[in-house]
Amino acid sequence: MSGMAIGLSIFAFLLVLLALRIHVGVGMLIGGAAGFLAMNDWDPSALLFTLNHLAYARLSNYDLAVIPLFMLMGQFATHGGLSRSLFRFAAAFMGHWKGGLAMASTGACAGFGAICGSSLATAATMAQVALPELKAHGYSGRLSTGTLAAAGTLGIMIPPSVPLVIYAVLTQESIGKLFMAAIVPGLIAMTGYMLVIKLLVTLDPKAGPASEKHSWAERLKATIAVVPVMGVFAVVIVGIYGGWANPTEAASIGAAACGVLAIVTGGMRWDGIKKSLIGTAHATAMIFLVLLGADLLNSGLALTQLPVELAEWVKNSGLPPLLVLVAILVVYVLLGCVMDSLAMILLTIPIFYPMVMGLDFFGMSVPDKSVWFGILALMVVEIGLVHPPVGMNLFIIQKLAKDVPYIETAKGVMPFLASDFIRIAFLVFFPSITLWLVHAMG
Amino acid sequence: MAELVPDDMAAAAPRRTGLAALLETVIGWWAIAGGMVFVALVIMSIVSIVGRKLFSHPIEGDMELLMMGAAIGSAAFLPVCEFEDHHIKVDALTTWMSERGRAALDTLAHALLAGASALITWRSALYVEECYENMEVSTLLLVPIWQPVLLLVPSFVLLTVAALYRTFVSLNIATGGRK
Repeated sequence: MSGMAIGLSIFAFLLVLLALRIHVGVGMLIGGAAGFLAMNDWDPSALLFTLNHLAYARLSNYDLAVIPLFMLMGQFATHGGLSRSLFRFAAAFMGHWKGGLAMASTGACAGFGAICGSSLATAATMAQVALPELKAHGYSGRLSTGTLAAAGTLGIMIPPSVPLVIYAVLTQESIGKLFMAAIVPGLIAMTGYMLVIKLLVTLDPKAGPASEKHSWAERLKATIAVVPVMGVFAVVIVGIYGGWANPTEAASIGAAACGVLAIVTGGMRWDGIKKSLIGTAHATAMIFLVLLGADLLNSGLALTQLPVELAEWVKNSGLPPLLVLVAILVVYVLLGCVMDSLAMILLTIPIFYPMVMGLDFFGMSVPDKSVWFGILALMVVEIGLVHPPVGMNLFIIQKLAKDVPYIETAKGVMPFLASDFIRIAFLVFFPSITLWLVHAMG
Repeated sequence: MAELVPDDMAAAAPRRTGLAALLETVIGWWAIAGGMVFVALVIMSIVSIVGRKLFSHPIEGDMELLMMGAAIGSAAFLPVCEFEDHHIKVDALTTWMSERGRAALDTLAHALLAGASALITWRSALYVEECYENMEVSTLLLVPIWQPVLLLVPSFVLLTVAALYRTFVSLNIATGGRK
């Protein structure tokens, strides 16, 4: 059996294991081990040797240490009640428009996404603050839950973003560059969601009535309350991009700042700190078990030469590059219906990345292509979070808004999904949207 | 994305008794200890950045310390996640099965995780020995590498135990018992 055939068999075997509810990390470990064994004539010594340092080598990776630190930062932000000031700030400026409070929720999600690298936490935290307000002001259930489920994804689209860290580590890309590149597409996403809300309330004005206008004194007060949160984001992003802190250090600063804010302004005490630590433990462990598995799987697959040969085959197949890219993005959307987005990135990037890098897109250079594909992958895997039937954000919002039926939330999110697809199409055909800021700052 | 559903919405934690309660306490505090490692690393990083920017005097070997600490801390997180059954799996394809059918598959999944974790425990312990014998040290601070690696081993032992506990729980559900 050729290396490529072995590689493909391993992949098929892995998918079967995953379908049978084997943990993604463990399935990958088994797949990787199978690769090692098959390529070494079933001699286990190379596999056992690799396993000796697998755990320490992977867990002591400097760049990956950014993940628990960002998780800690997000946990402090979540338990410290920082979402409330963001929502009040956005509501003070937008609340008096039709659909304004829904737009404010979107803006607040974007703001929270700037200090929190995860989507579920953003959706859930913001929903706890925004849902009661939306309901009190007579917003329809469908608009409220649809908005929050979709806007929650801004948590990962706006940096810091854990999937981008993973992408960076897998592809040796710069975390700072990827974060910078994600800002404009993230803001476009936010604007897109707001336009959807505008359209929806134009079609059905009863869905999102305007609320009272805030005075400038109230607005000033709300702005002052939000300054520290924006400060944290500025420190993290400017720190990374200004070059005076690497991403890991910036995450440390962010975690400390959010911790202090949560204690001082949010009244977080030992109980909250304990919850934050446990929350960080869960979120980190989920990712790191998959990372351990992915490490062995990728070494095993590399032995079979599958990624290289597949990339070579695609390159020589004469298929139009954009068709290949669209096919890859479609695979992500489909996989996203059943699979966790991070697991998906870890499973597929080692295969898809060399493929995309081998093809020509609009004459882009390799470093540009690498950043561009990272952002595209991020945008597409995020769709899995809001895509019915299994989008996790839908379930979270559902649990919080007890009186809105699931089907309403699922319907409510559809227009936002449409805006996701339109945005992704723009990012595919106009790479400069993504790369503009990277070039301007670089 | 991979993450825990925020705690205030999660179902009430099951009440455990006897050995399971003891294990829950140990694993919970082990994870909190891991979290405290990260809090310590955060403080160290800030002291180092301030030292570097203001006094051109960072903490020597801060990157090395962070790498060792992060390895120890994140390994300590693994058991609690398994104990509460939060590790990532694809469950959308088996929703049509009965609870007992799913539990039967989960028994296999947790048993495999226990096996994998036991294997990693064993090989990591061997790596401790290897580093000790070869006197491997970190580049700048000359910290013997066997020390941080040794601190990973208990985490993987606990992960194995947690996975065995989960195997037992799933098996109980699969065979019609209640747990």
